[in-house]
Amino acid sequence: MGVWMIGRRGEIPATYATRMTTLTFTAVAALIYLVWAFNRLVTYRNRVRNAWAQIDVQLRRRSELVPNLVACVKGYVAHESQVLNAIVEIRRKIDTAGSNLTARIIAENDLARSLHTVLSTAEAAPRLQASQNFVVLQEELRSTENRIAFARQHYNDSVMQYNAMLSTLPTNLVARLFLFSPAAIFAARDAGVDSGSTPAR
Amino acid sequence: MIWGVPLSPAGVINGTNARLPHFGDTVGPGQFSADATIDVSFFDEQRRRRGQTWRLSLVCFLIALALGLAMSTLLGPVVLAIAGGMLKLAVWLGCGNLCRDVAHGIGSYARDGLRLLAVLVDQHAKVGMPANKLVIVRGLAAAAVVLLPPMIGAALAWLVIRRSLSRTRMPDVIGMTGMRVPAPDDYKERQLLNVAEEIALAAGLPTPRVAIADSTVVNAMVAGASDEAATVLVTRALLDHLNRDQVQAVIAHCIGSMSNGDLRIMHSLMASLQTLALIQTILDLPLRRSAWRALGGYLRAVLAPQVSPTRLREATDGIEQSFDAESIGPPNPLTWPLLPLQVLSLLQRIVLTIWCSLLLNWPLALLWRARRYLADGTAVQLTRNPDALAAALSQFATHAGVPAGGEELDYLFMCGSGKSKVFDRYGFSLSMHPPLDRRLKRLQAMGASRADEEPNRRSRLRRAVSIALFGIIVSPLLLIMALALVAVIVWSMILPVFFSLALGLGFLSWAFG
Repeated sequence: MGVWMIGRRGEIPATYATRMTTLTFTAVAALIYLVWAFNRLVTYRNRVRNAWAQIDVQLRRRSELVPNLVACVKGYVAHESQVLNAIVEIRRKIDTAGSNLTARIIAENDLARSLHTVLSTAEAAPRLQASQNFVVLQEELRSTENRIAFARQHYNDSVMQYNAMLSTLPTNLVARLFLFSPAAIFAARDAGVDSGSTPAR
Repeated sequence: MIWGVPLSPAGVINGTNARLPHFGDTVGPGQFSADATIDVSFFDEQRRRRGQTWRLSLVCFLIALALGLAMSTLLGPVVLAIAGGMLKLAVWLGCGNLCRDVAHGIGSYARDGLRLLAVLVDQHAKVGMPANKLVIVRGLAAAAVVLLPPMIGAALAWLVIRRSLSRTRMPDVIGMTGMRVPAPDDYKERQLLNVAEEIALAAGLPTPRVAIADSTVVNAMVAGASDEAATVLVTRALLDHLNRDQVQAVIAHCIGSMSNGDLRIMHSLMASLQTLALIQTILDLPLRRSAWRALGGYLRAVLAPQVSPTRLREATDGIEQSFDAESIGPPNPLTWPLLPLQVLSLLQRIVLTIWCSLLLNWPLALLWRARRYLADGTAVQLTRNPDALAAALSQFATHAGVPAGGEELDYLFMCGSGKSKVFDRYGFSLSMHPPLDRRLKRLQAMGASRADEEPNRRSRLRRAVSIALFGIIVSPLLLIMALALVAVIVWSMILPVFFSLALGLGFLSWAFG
C-alpha cells in the first residue's frame, strides 16, 4: 500500500521501490520461517533426547528393585539360591558398567532374563504367591517392564517424528543448514536392551 | 492405509513387550488376535479426527460470530445510549465542552449508521435482496460502529473468563464430588498409580494427579487447568471391574484426551457460554435484584487472583440463572417504565434459545464427540492394545454411570450416562458422547478383535438399499424442514433488528439529542 503511494507521488521510481519492498518482505518472511523451523527442530530433538534419558531412568529403576526381590524371595526358594546370587552379581555389573555401553547392554539383557527365571520359579512356590509382599513386588516389576517398553515406544515415536521432519520438505533444508543429524530407532527383539543405537547428537 | 488386508498375528506379543514401530510403518503394532484386521491405522484415525475437529471448530466459530452479530444489533444501541447518557451526565456535572462534542460526534455517527441499517433492513424485507449491493457494504460499514462496541466487549469478556477457567486448580473438586487420593497400600490403587505413570511415560508428559471416587459406577475422566495441572479421576468400581490392561487403556484415553488439548477446547467452549450468560445478566440488571447479586459474585470470582473451582461454579450458576424462565419473576410495578428493556431482554432470550437449540448444538456436540474418538485413537497409539480398550468399553456398556456430584461435568467423563445439566440449560440436548457400539467399531477398524460379529455382506447390502429408499422418501421432508429452519433463523435475525432499530433510535435521540 505504502509503495503504491510512493510511486504515485513520483519521488522514487515505482519499480525500484516495489522491488526493494518485495525483497525486504521476502527476506523477513524467510528469516521468520528459519527461526520457526529451527526452534521446532530443536524442540523435537530435545524430545528425542529426553525420551532416551527416560529409558535409562527406567532401567535404573528396575535394577534398584533387585535387592527387594532377592530379600523377599530368599526364604522361599532356597534351592534356587544360585539364580539369586547371579542376579545380585548382574546388578553389580550394571553399576560398574557406567558409561561402557556394550557391557551395560549385555548386563541389562542378562538381568531381564534372570528376572524372568526368578519370577517363573516363584510362580511354582504357592507359599510365595500367598505373600502380600511378593504380590506387590510382582506388580512393581511388571510396571517397571511396562515403563521400559513405554519409554522405548515414546522414544521411537519421537524419533519417527523427528526423522520425518529431517527428511521432508521444507524442514530438511533448514536441518541440513544447521547440521541436524537423524536419530536412530531403538530396534528391540526381547525385553531389555539389545541395540547399540544412540540418540540424536 | 490397508483396507481389509488381514494382519497376520504379529508373533507372541504381550502388552508389556509390544513390537515397536518403525519409520514408515503404516499399521500400528500391538496386541492383535488372529481374527483382527486393520482397516485404519491409529495415525490415520487421529489425523482424520483432527481434521474433523478443525472443520467443526470453524463452523462453530462462524455460528458464534453470527450469533454475536444478532445479539449486537440488540445490545449496540443500548451500549451507545448508556455511553451517551454518561457523557451527558459529565457535561451536566461541568466537565466542559469536549464531552458534549464527543457525545454529539458519536451520536450523529451512530444515528447515521442506524438509519443506513434501517434502510438496509427495509429493503431486505421488501425485495428479499437489496437491489444495490453497494447499499449493503455501506450499511454494514456504517452499522459497524453500532455493532462493534458490544462485540469487542464480548470478546474481551471471553478472554478474561477463559483465563480464569484455565487458572483454577482442580484439587478442590476432589472435595466437591467426594474424591480422594489413592491409597498406596491398596493393591489395586497402587496398580492404578503405576499405570498412570506408565502411560504418562508413553505420552511423554508429566504424570497427572490421580484421584479416586468411591462410587459403584464405572467411569473415568480428566479435568484440570492445563497439561501440567491435570487430574485423572477414576471410580473405585472401575478398578474392581477392569483388569490391569483395561485400566491402562482407560487411563490412556484420559491422558490422550489431555495431551490432545481437550481441556483447552472445553475452557474456550465454557467461556463462550458464560459470556452469553454474562450479557444476559447485565441486560437483566435493572429488572431484577438477583442479577446484581449474581453479577457481583461472578465478577469477584473471575477477577480474584485465587479462586476455588467450587466458588467459580457457584458464581457461574448464578449468572446462568438468567436463562431460566423463572428468573423473570412476577411483574414488578417498579420496572414498568423499563418496558422496552424488558422486551429487549425477552427478545434476546428468544434469539439465544433459537440459535443455541437449532444451530449451535449440532456442531458443538459433533465436535466433542470427534474429540472422544480422537482420544480413543490416541489411547490405541499409547498402549498399542486396541483389544484392551474395546474390552473396557464393553464393561462401560453395563456398568457406566456418572458418580454422585459429577453430573455437571458429565461431558468430561469417558462415557456419559445422561444429559449434562449445564448444556441442557442452553438447549443442548444432544449427546456429548458417541454411542459405545460406534466406538467399538472404530476400535475394531484399528485392530481390535471382532469376536462377536462376522460382517455379513448380504445384510449390509440390504441395509444400504433400505437406507437409500428411506432417504428418497424422507428427503422432501428434510428439504421442507431445512427451509423452515432457514426462515426461522432469518426471522430471528430480522425481527430483533427491527425492534432494536426503533428502540435504538429512541434511546439515541434521548441520549444525544
